[in-house]
Amino acid sequence: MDAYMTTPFCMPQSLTIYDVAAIQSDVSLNTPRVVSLAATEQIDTSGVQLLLFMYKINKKQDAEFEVVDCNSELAKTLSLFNLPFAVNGHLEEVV
Amino acid sequence: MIGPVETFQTEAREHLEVLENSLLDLEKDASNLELVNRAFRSIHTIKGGAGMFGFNQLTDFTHHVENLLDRLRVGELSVSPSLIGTLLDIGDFIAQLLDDVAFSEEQSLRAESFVTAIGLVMGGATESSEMSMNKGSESKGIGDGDNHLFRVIFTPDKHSYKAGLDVVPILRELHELGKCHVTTKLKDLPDNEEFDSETNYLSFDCVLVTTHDQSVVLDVFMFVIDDWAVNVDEIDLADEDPESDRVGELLVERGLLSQADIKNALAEKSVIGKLLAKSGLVTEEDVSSALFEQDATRQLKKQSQEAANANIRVPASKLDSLMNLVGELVIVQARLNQFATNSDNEEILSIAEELDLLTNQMRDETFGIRLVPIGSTFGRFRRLVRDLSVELHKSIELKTEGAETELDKMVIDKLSDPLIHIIRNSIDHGIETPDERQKLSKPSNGTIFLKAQHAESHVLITISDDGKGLDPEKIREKALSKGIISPNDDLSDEQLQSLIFEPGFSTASQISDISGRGVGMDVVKRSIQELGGKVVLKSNVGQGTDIRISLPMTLAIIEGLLVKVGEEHFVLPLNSVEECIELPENITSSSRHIIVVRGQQIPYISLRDHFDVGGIHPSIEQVVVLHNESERFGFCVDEVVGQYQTVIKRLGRFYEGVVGFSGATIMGDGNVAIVLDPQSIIESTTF
Repeated sequence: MDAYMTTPFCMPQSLTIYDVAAIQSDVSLNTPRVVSLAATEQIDTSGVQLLLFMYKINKKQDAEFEVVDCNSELAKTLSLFNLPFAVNGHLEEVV
Repeated sequence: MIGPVETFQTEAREHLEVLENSLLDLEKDASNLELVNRAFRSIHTIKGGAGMFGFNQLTDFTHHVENLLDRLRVGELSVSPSLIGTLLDIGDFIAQLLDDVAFSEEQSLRAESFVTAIGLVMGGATESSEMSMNKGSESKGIGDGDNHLFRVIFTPDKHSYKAGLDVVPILRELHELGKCHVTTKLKDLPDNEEFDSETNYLSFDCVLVTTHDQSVVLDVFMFVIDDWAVNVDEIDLADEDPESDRVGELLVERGLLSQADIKNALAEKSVIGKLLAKSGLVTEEDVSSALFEQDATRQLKKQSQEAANANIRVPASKLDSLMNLVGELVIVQARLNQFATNSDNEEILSIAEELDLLTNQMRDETFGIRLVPIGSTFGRFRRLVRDLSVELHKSIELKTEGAETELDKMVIDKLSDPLIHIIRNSIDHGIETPDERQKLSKPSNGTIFLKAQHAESHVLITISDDGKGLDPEKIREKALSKGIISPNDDLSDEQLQSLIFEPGFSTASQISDISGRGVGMDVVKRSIQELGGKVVLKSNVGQGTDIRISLPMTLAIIEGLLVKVGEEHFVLPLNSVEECIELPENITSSSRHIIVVRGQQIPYISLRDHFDVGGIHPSIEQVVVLHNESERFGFCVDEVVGQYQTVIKRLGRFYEGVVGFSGATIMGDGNVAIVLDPQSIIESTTF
């Protein structure tokens, strides 16, 4: 397994419509399996959609995708979407 | 009635029992997958129920336990004695949490330690730091008030993000409205280079359980409704079709499948959701959302059915029988109280006091069951007024107020006929024809006003009309001709008007089919008196008549004041009693019969003299001061024994005509005390 993929990819401070295009180009070629939101303070739906895109790419490859180091405020926002991947090891819903 | 939260708690305890048994069996038979499945299902159901009622901390905690059992289920973990031990401890802990779903500080710590233990067993970190023990957020969810279930499906415009329109605040608002299950649908999200991160591909499928109505839900989308595809549908909880909330049907209703797809999938005889998802007809998210909707619909339907079943019909005879039994219980209670007081035994006294409290509560509850709103009687009068008005070519409107006023069912049943008599009299004799009314400059429409209200422990019913009123002169002539009064009688207008309650009196010169046979108003008065009530008439010529009926709320048991005169016991209705005072020594009961209380002169009568009770006057006598609607008066007695729950027994036909008594009661020692009717004693006495 490619080490790059399992080493957490650190998202910037802002993960919003102003940032997603640049991040997309960073993650498109080698989509990480673990994303760290340690530095992230802001997220909007386009940011969530980018995470879901990465989840879907991984799923296509039968790989797990997860988000780690997410602060509680951000985790609360993410929980609104009932996401299919684990955030801080917590999966929203067992389907 | 058992509330939905209590139902959840009871059911959750049953599931904990299943969990415990499954775990104990599993310890002996570690390879039995069915036992693991059973344990998983129990925890899953508890989690689901907790989530539905908004017990978020319990949901979070059980979610961790569920993950652990899931790992066992898929074979990623194996059963060990220590794991069974941990799970049994967790089961005990959840049982404690069910009693008080708001986590205490200590419980939060314990939950954290269990989550850590689960994490260790599962071989990885869990979200212990993320155990969102959302204190104060436990109130949202099914079970609060009148719930609605909405299916909210929306797709933001593909340029929404660039336009600065975000879904986060929308979802936040939906979550704030109640319990919201969101499914973020990824069907259109590309998983290749076609993906443009600035374009929206997501759509959302929400199932919302809320106490708010549809307009409030639509308000959430106020700013985007023109640009986004938004669909808010309320799910019909009254729909009794058992098929309608099946997952397949829900998916068809959501426009995701056709009936043919369902039929084909069902042919494979397996779980339809899994089959459909597997076949690619719908996504897993679609099935998940439909499943949540199914859960929410079924739970809400169950609740409304429980609410509907909360009322049961019981034959009135059973209530009468219950009332009689309570009456007997009260009598036995009085005996016990008397025995306990005389016994000087602290333990018996204490038991008697406790039982007395319970008996009182039981009496009040039994009364409560028998109370029904008087409005049920009002309904039939509307038809009566309408029919009689047409028959007599009069235009009369019946207005009612206080239909919600509650009275003992037996009182209401017996009140119906007197009220019909009074209303018939108003229509027939009181209210003029439209022509007559116009000549008198009155509105051509006559009005009968029927009003019920609570007044202290009584219910006051007023029947008033704006008709011609009772002419005292006409009444005098009629009374003279009928021999009811003699020419020498000097009666006031009020006294003359009250003569209509005398037997055989009728003012209508022509007897009609409606009333006027001279059997009406005296029967009315007697019926009201039999109910322990009073009837007062006030009439102004040309303006109308007011008839006021005052009734006790119940007939069977009253709170009384037990007094003693010589060897005789009497009960006075406590609601009429104001105070008890000692008769000053310088006033004897045989003198002027006036007592001055705080500057006010109050007339009193001596019950010893009134009932001709033998024996000698005690050195100190008591005066019980009572009141009626307009005046205060006193009854002089030897001794005030105290408050007494009085089960009124009828005196029987032999004593029907006796004035001053409303019944009798059996006391604790088996003796009989007469229940007095103070008003009739006062009316029959001249001071």
